[in-house]
Amino acid sequence: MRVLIIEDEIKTAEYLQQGLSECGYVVDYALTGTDGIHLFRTQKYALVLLDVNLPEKDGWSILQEIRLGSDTRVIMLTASGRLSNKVKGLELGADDYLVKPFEFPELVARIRSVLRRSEKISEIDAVQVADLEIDAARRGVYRSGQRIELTTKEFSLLQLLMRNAGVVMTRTQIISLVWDINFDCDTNVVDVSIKRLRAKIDEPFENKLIHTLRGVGYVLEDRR
Amino acid sequence: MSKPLSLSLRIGLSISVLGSVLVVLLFSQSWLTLKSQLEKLADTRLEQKLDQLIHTINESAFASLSSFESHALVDLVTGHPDLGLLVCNIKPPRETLFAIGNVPAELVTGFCPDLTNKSETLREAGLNLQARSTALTAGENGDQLLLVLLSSRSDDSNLLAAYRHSTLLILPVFLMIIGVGAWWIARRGLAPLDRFEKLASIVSTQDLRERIVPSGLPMELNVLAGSINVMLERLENEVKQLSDFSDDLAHELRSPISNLMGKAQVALSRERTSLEYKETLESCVEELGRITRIVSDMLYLAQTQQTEIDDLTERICLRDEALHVVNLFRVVAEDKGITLTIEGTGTILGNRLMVQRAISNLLSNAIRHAPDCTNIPVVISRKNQAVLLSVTNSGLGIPEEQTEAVFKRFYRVDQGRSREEGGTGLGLSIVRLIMKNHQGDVTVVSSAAGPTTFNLWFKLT
Repeated sequence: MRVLIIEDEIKTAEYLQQGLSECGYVVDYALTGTDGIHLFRTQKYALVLLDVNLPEKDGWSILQEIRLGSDTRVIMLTASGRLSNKVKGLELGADDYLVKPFEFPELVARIRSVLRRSEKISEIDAVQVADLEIDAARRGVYRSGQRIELTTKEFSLLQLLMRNAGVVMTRTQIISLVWDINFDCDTNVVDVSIKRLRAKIDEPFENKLIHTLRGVGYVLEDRR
Repeated sequence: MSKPLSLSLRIGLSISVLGSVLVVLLFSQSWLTLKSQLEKLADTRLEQKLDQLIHTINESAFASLSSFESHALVDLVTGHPDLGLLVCNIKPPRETLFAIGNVPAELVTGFCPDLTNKSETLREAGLNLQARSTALTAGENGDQLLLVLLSSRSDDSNLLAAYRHSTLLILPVFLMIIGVGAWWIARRGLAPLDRFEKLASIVSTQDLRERIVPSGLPMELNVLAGSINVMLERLENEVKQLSDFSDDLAHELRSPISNLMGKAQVALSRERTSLEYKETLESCVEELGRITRIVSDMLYLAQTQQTEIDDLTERICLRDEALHVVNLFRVVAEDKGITLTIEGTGTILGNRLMVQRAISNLLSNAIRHAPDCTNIPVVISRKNQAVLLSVTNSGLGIPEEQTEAVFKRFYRVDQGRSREEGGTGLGLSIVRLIMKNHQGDVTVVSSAAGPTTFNLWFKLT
């Protein structure tokens, strides 16, 4: 899938390009709005990452131009977290809105969610990674056919990690999606919960599935 | 554009314009009064004299017209240099029969003026006379006569003219005195403003210590000076806070940044294995996480300062929100053997996210300071027309003299300790700001030995 980044900060553009390329996207970037619009017209993109503060032509007018003849997914990136700005972006037709500084894994998750929206894949109830199985309908967790008892929050956490198997989840994302707390809060609840989850899921078994990416977050994947 | 006039000059000019209008009005009014009074006086005098004449005539029963010029009559008229008597035929043409006393030549030789009214002012062809006439039947043959008594008004006119002249002469002098006086008074009245001007020229963000000395100022300016001094006081405090804050901020950010720098420089100083590079990067990311947290907390503080009241209209059940936040911290608390309990309930109006954040900051604070295996109660109650949410931990408390300071940005009771534990030092400042936004307050009750209770006071809805 092709992604276009319109961002005047070259360092940001470069690391986004590298990061997203490594996630399997084909990425182009433009440093000015005019170049961005030009690229957008010559290529077919699945998604545009659009910075609001751009020289020459700002993000709002680019968004309007994009929206004139296309329903390509657009995620706005901006330094201002003002509610009025968010509302403006969404009203002009942006699909999502991310405030700088953001964590890269969160951006990836948002991109995936925005793209999924267009594909309309329904959530799957049963997921399996290696010999670990989860059945959301019956709230059952099995490893090597053995049933494992988890608390409600541990179950939600495992479900989140398994549905995003192979994708790094940051602490902020996990807190938001499992505990529904949507602001930065100063706690190590994720680390404690992961520690407990590991004790039940991974410790008795040889193939470890939950991995820590120090400084970034956690990922569940079969690395064997 | 022309330069605006000074205030004192403007006041002086307007007062002199106003003064001149008043003076002109006053002079014209007195001039008119004088004029009409003089006329009335002259007329009354003529009337009396004429009555006297008729009386004399009737008493002396004249035989003929010629005997009119009798001595008595002449005496009556010529005693007054400004009087003249004209006797003429009443039938037209009214030829003059004779004249006594001060009668202008053109009236003696010509015809009697056509006097239709009993009293009239003649002011034509150089004449300035007040006239009063009466019809009279005299003599044995019953001649119809017209008696016209004339009085010269030139004296009165001279008087009025002199009055007018002197007024016109003195008027500019008066106006000048009024104008200059008004300017001087205005200048004197505005002189205390110099103090304000001097102050304004001194004050800057570097120096906010100057104040206006209010003694000796007029009352209105005294009040103004008072409020300006209060304003400066506030500004000085805020500016000091702001500059302290930037100092603290620079200090807070300096150590993680220098850690980053050092770590990266050491890593680059010689070839390393990729595992070592990875280790360096991980440590850098952790350090950067700290910087990011400080910056986003500060952004939050800056943005919350400008919260509009519209955002605070959600009906919130404090128990639900407390439970929501407690659920997040439960695992962490259990890890230390700490139990979290919620008692009571209450409803307030506010912003859900802000309230959650305030409770969350208090709870993470409490868990950090509570000893292992204790209870942290969250108690919601109604007290003195307010809804109170309190969080208590039984750990070491805050010395009495520091209880106010804990709400300051970057203030730490135990320097360095909470920094290691990941706090940004802004948590309680954020709580206080959130409570201010909710028109409530946050207070702390503690002593050095503990326990410590943080109270969130919400307005009762």
